[in-house]
Amino acid sequence: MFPLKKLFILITILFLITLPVKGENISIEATVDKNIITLDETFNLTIILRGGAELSVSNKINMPKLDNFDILSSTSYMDSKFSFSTSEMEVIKTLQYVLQPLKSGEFVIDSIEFHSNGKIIKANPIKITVTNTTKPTVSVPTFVPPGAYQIPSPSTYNNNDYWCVQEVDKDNVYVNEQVTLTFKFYYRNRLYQEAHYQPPDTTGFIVTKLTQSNVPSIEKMQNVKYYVDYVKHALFPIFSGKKTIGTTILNVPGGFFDYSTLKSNEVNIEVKPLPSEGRPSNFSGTVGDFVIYVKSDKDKVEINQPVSIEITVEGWGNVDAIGEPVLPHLSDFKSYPSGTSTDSFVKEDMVYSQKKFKYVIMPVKTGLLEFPEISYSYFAPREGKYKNISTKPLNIAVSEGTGNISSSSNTQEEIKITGQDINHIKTGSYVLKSDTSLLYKNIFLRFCIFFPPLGLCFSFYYKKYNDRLNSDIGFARFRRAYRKAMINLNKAKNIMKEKGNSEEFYSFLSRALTEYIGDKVNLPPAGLTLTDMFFILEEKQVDKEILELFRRTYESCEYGRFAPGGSGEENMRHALEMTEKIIVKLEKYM
Amino acid sequence: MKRKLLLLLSMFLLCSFLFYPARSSQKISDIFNQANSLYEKGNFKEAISYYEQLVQSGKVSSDLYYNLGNACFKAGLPGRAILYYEKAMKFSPRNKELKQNLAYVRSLTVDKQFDEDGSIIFFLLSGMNGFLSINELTIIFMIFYFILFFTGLIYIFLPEKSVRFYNRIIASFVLFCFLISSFFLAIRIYDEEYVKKGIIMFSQEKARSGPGEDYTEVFTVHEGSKVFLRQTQGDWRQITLPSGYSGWVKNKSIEEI
Repeated sequence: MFPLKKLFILITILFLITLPVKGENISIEATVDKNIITLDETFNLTIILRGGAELSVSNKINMPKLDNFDILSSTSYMDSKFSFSTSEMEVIKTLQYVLQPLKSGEFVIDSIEFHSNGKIIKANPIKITVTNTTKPTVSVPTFVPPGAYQIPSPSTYNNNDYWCVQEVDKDNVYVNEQVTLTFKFYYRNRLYQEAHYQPPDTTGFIVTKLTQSNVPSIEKMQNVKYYVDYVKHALFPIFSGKKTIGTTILNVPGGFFDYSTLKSNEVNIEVKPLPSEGRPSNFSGTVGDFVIYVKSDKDKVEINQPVSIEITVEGWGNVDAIGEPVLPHLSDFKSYPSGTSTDSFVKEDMVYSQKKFKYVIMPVKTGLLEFPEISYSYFAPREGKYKNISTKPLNIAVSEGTGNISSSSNTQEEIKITGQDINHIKTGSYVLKSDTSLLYKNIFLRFCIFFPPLGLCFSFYYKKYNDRLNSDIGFARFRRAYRKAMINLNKAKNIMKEKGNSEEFYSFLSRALTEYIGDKVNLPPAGLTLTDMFFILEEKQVDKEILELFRRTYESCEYGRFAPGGSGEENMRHALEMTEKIIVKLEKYM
Repeated sequence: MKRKLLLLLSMFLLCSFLFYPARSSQKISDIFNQANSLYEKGNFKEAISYYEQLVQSGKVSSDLYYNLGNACFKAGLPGRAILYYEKAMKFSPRNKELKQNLAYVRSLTVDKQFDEDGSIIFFLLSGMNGFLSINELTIIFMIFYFILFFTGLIYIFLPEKSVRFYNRIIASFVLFCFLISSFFLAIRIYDEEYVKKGIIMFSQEKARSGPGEDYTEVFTVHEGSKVFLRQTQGDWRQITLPSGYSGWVKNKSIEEI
């Protein structure tokens, strides 16, 4: 046991002990279900104890001697309620005994006593009269199903552990009259598993389940005690003639995975047709015992406004057989059916049914109008004759109403269709637009399908390239080196054209070369010497001829920058061409 | 001189180019009005020939098919009327008058026409047939396709978190709509390309178990019945009824929708 569980039990006990005890209010009551019985019958003795929490922990009941009775079974159960408003706990303890008298005569069951806190609380004594008259024993069917347990005759009850029987309350009925089928299962020893019940073939009947036993009752036959379970069904025969209710099969558990099949007897029923003699014209097939009444949702209404009417037929009988009442001619109202609803329930092993017929009526004139009584007929099987019942008339006050709907609107009719033809042709120039070519076959549209994926790919790469240009300076310088060199060359060209300063011209050429190489390898151009540039170009495996050309061009640029007097236009053009040629050639290697 | 002549020729070609469609449209409109007036006068057969001229010119519309269907019905050709109504239905599935006319003419045919199941499942499985035309579905598909493209562009070029959040919501919704519209469009294109349907044109046509007169007669179809078209063999075509029965009828007795 877990410590937590222990703690919980301890707290519960403490709680029960500390609860205010209604010791002073303890009461005891003893009752029996019948005072006069025969020798073969059993009766229930019920003792009810009411009190506080102490009832749940003490059990000091003194039972009187029951020498004249045999105790067939005893059960006890307890119920408790806690009231938060009064902080009190009420415990109800019930003890139930099934007793059978051993001899006839008048007996008294003495007071039952309950001891509480030194006090003795007594129940009233009970007087029981036992007569000698014995009831006939349970009818024993002669049917013996093959392979099943033999249905025991009264003399052989003692030799059978279990058997079953099915019986009806009547075997000569009218169509749609209720027949109660009771299936009983008798067994001597308690079953450890439930028996499997297979209902009988009830073709030709409408079947409704009534009740079944929750706890087995006890019957004694030839001094042998049997537990009895039962299932009750209401059957309503649909057609007349001789009908048979088939065998009920019960699979009774024996041992592990072992079942014995028990079959009941068949039951024959003679179903009579409803008499044609005296059948009312408004009879619609209802059989049983019924009442009819009508109600409306309002008794004051404006003209042409709807009123809901509900006609209810209810009583003992089959709900499916309840026919619709025939409405009388309504001159003051227009009526429209708006549906039906049914309900049925079981009451004292009988089926009680209710069927509601709903209508919407609209008054067509003003004044105090009467919704007339409705006459309804049904067949009462107990009396074997047709009966007529009727509703009370309803009074409905109809006013003119606030709307402008005049009573002349009553003469309106639905438009009648007198002929049918196709709709007319369509005219006008709009019909000439060509709208019957299939768009999905259009070449332009198909081309458009490819545009978005290509566009997305291009956009993606463009964005990546742009992001790198912005974030990676080395990459940006590398990509822009050639363009920048060309800009420097253009500037030099402009100076040459405008016959400007030759120093400046050579300076731009020199810058074009150093900045180009510096940008390509991401080094500051200011610190680059010819040796450095040579080393870089050699690393890039630039052809020796180009290297030589580069050296000469660079040196002439330097010479031009620092010895300006000796350079003419021809030299400048040559230097410009050479520089451009070198940069174009180097672009392949860098 | 040569230059002037070239200029004149260019001007003439330009004018022809500019005014040709108008003249052509005028001509078509005249034919259409003439056909309508013939219909109004009760000269249905002649109206049919004028309407068919327009059909052959390629300048057609669902309304033209509708008028042609009307003229055929009035001229006592219910099969042909159903054919043109069905053609019009492909492009104007919600046209009430068209639906009414088709239902009415169908009700006058001998064979019981199968009613397309009105359940939502059938409606979805048929690619919303009867609600959207195949062209409307194509346009819807393209709209969602391009919106999806733009949401992609926004995702690439606008990296702000808030923009991306809303863009993702919109993109998810648009993607869902795009997938749904593609699904329906695919069904409709499949139906258009691979499920051929036709209308029986003869008042009575015996279907045989094979492509020839010697084969056993399996059933008889009547004018106006809608059938599924299968393979062709010589002058014969295999048809399948909506109930699933198949047979071969002469090619000339059917017109494809």
